[in-house]
Amino acid sequence: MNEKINAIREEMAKVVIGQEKMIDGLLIGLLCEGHILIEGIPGLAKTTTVKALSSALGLRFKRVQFTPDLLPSDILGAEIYDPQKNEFKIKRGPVFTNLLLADEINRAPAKVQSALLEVMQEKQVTIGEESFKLSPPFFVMATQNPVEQEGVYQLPEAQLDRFMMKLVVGYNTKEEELEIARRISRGTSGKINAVVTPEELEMLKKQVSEVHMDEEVEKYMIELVSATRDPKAYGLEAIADYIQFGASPRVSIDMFKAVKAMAFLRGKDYVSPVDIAYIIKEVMRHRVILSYEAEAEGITADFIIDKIVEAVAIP
Amino acid sequence: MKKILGSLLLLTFGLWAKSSYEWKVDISEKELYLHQAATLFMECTFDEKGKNDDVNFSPPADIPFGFELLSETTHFEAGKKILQYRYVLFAKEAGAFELELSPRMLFTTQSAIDNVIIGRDNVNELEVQREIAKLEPIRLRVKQTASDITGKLNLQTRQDIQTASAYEPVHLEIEIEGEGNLHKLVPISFEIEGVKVFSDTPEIKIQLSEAGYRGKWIQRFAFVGKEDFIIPSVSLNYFDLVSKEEKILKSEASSIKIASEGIKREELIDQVNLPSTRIELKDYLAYFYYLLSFIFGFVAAKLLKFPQRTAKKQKGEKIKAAKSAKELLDVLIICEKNLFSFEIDTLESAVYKGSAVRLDEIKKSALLRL
Repeated sequence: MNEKINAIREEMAKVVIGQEKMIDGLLIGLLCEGHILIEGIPGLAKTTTVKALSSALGLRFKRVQFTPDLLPSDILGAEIYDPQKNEFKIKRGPVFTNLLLADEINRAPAKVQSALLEVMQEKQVTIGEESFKLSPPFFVMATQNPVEQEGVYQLPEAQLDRFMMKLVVGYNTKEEELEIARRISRGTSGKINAVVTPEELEMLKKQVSEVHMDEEVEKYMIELVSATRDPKAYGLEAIADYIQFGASPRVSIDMFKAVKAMAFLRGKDYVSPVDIAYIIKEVMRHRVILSYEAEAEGITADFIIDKIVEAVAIP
Repeated sequence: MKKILGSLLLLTFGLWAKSSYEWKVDISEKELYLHQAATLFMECTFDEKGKNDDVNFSPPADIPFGFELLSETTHFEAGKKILQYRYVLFAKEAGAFELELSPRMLFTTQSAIDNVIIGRDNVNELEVQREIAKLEPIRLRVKQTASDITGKLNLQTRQDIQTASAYEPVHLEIEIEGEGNLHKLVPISFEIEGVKVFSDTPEIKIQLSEAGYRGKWIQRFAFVGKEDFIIPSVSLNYFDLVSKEEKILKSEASSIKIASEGIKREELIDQVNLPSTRIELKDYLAYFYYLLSFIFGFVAAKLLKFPQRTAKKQKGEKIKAAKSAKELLDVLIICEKNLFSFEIDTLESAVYKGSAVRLDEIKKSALLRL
């Protein structure tokens, strides 16, 4: 695997113990310039991991804590009157950065979440009558608490679709938790150094784009996406009623990028169905809209994806 | 301010509109014996304006008479509201008394009631004008008696057998029936040498009437002995209201003959213990219920565990059945990929890069992880 990727991992390991899947997901987002949504209960190092990544990258980093009283102008910026010059000037918000950490994004109401839509998709901000292009790279890493918790809003489907991957973070193992507790009590967490320059990051992205993907594998991915829209065509009558809307074309686009990055992280220069199997849930789980029946019966998107992977023939 | 003005207006209106009333009081007996009951009749008639007015009467507590409410009614006659009360008085002390009754009269108006119902001007309480009515005193004379029980009473006894075997219970029922302060009767107890006496708590079946309490007072006994014995007579001193003199109610003594020794005492004790060891049908049903619950729980646990075992077994069979590295790789991808990451990596390079792999070893390794 690329030395730079290893260096990033080592730097992050100074403050983050375990959570390899989350780190892999963030790296994939970094290499593909895809926005990442991280979900997990409070206290699982979501914010710490994202901050560690930004520090290791040496990129401009801004953090916005989303709260119920947050306004769109709080994140985008606003026109402010300058009495000396007798004119309005633009006060840029925290989105003018490379890596934006939207912490607890689903604590903010829908209008604030929607304000991020243009930024995430177009990578530009409109304030008043002026539009500003954000300087690349720009990607959003958002953390959210599970919807079952109090005081959180469901993110709109359109916004969810803008996130390349949704990472679900679980608890650390007992051994990892012991190490975390020891390290925190001793105060021995190390300082994170920037180990990747913007030029090196561009180089890494180029390497990822050059990973070979066979046509059979490409077709396999399309079949997987298609199976979410028409499960009966793949002999999945049992789950057909559980899906309200299948995955959007953005899933195919993001999957093509993500599997290459996955293969790259696994030290390969080609994509195989194994890479797809490793990444499919993260790319698809927040974009398959489940029906009321599924929710009533406790069926999750992950379960649906498992069934689809089982049903679609592997090339 | 608005509320105060409203209240003043209502009060003025209330004073102006207050109805008149008339009380009638009567008592069934003016000369009583101690503990005797008498009926006090009270009737209040309001005029036509008093349809909303009311009476609040509580019997005085500091007089030597006990009060029990027998009935309370309200009705209208020719547009006049009439309230009637009947109380039963029990004389507690001997002597001459003047009974002064002071019911509280409550006057209100329809508009005051409406104000409460609709909550006008935040009115929370009914606007009422109160007045104490002074009734004609009732003069009573209570004569002393020697006993604590007064009334018209009869005593009856019922005994089931006259001859019994040893330790066979002889049942006796003593019943005092009639009118009077039956609720004051004290339980009877027997002391007979060599005889075990079992006694129930007295059963009192009485109800309030104009003559005091009327009904029955019953106490039941069982006598268990091994030799002949005599149930002594029971006597009750009371003041009889029919003959106006002290009387004694007395039962006959009863001689019980033990015909034979019957069963021995030890055997009787064993027999007493028998019911606790005997298993009845309901016990069998309970045991059966618990057994069934246990079996059901056991089967349910097995059934719940079964799908997990089946799924694991199916995965194992799929791994064993894989004939090629590609087939095995597909199986492992669909199974828990994180569990088989080593095997998947090895098979992946074999399938897509053509590197050598020993399928049996990979299968064995995967099965061990399962």
